[in-house]
Amino acid sequence: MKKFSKYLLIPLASAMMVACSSNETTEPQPKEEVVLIEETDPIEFGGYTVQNLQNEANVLYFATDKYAIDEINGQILDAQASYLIDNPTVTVQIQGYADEVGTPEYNIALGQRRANSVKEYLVSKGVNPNQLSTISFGEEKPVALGHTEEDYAKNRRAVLAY
Amino acid sequence: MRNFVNKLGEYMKILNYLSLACLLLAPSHLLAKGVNSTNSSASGDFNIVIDGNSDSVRLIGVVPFQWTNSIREVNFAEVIASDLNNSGLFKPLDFNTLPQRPINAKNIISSEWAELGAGNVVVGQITPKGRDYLVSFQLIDTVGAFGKKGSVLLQKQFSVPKHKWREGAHRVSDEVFLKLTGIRGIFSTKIAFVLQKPYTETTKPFQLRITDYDGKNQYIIFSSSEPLMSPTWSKDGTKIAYSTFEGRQSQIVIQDLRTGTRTVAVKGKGNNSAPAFSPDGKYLAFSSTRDGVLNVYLLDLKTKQVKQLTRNSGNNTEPSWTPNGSDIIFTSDRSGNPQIYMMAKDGSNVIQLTDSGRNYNGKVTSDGKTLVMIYNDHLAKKDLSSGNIEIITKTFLDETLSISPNNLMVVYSSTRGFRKVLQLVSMDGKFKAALPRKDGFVKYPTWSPFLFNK
Repeated sequence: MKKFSKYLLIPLASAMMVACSSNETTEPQPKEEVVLIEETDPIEFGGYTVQNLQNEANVLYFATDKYAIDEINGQILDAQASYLIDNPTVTVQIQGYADEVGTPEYNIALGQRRANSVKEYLVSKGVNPNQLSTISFGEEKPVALGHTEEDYAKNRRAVLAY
Repeated sequence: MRNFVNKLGEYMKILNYLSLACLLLAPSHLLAKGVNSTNSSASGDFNIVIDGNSDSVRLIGVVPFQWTNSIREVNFAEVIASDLNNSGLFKPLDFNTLPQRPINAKNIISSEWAELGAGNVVVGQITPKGRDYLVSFQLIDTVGAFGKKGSVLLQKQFSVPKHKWREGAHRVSDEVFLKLTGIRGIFSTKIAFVLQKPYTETTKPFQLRITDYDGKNQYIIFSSSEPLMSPTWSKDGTKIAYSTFEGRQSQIVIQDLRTGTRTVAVKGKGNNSAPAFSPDGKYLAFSSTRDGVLNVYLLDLKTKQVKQLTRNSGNNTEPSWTPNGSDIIFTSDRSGNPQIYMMAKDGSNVIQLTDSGRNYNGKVTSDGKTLVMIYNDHLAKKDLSSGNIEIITKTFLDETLSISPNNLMVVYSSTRGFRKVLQLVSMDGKFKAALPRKDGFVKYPTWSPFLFNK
């Protein structure tokens, strides 16, 4: 988390300096060039920025009664794994969710299986298990409220909550 | 227990006889024209909307109570008529079709009521006294089913604080119901449930509420920004246990209803949920994913020791106790799909109770005879001696059932459109009612035990 905030601050600082320099006609300072190099070269993991990994590429979808990590989810998780390995102080809660079929308490089991599956995959890629915790919300907090297979597919998911 | 069953059988015989008599005697337009249970309600209250009725419904007359030295301040008769109507076993005459408005038993002309098919009449008087109402009522037999025509079956007087007048009315209903059916009424019981409001309306959209059984007198006992699950009452009605996701952790909390004090009973890794107090109040069964899969555990509430009851056999959850407290019913997918099992409270002697379809959320009636459960997506019951299974609802995606303390009704949650609503159904599946509300999802209804000693 600490490392993440640093990356946020650097572009901000450089933007402020750019703003200042545009108002003045002074010559460019060598310090600015160093900052600009950092900005145009953001750290990426498997093609995802930290921002992507924490807020967008952090949801994995599953078929009915399926928990195994398929190719698409595997790609995302490989990127997540390299980020977590590179940042051993970062922790993440893996949240499992289910669709509404079945009772809420039994659906805790289905959500937990998805969370466990994600955790096992990340650990198999070398992530320290101490960085990972799991929880299941079962059918609570659905993303889609309808009762079609399309809706259910959106709700059968695991979320890496940073 | 046997006594109770025999007595019940006797009364059911009388009941069947009477209902037949009612059907023969009553003009058909009266059967359809009962009292609607639409009491005026405070905001946030439910109204019970009846969707279907039992065939063995009995007509009864409830006469507006006479007010002594006062104009009518509240409507006792309306609440009593609604209660009897909500039981599914009675149909009160419409107040506008009453043949007479007697103030006590002496003034009743039995034949006029019997002609309409009303085998019984309730009359009463209210006298305001300081902060209380003095309530007197009588129950009259108009057809002589219990003896002489016009005889008084029940006559009582009690005081109730004015602000608790509905409790007083429910008490009259309980007395009348017990006298006429031999079964204790649930009109003084409560239902706890979770209301989920939209996130756009409040930062704490998950509310744990308690309501009178008829949807009135609701109040919030806890609200949270994260889901609340599976509230359940202690057998003495003084505590409610439920699971929460506060602070990104899944915990089981016990809340004392007298003091409001909340105590974390179970916390730690993974999920901790599905609490169930033992009938003696000494243990809390629950499920946890602390070792990766769901298993059933037992917490000794005094020593705080936790014992694991299921292991190495799939997911195990939804524990509930048999009435005598010796066994625990639970859901397990050890066979590949969810089925209901029973085990001794030390985890031994596991018996499978269901084997077709998918079964969840098993609960046994307090007479130990019937297993009520979710069978695929519907509420169903299984006679534990014959093994017969009967589906009793047609609603969509039924879940989280709770049996009324007198075993006559089940409250559960089902889906209507984009909402979850509470439903009531009689154990025979004939009486159906909904408790709809428009301001959110209603889930996890759980019926209180009998709350007042009689």
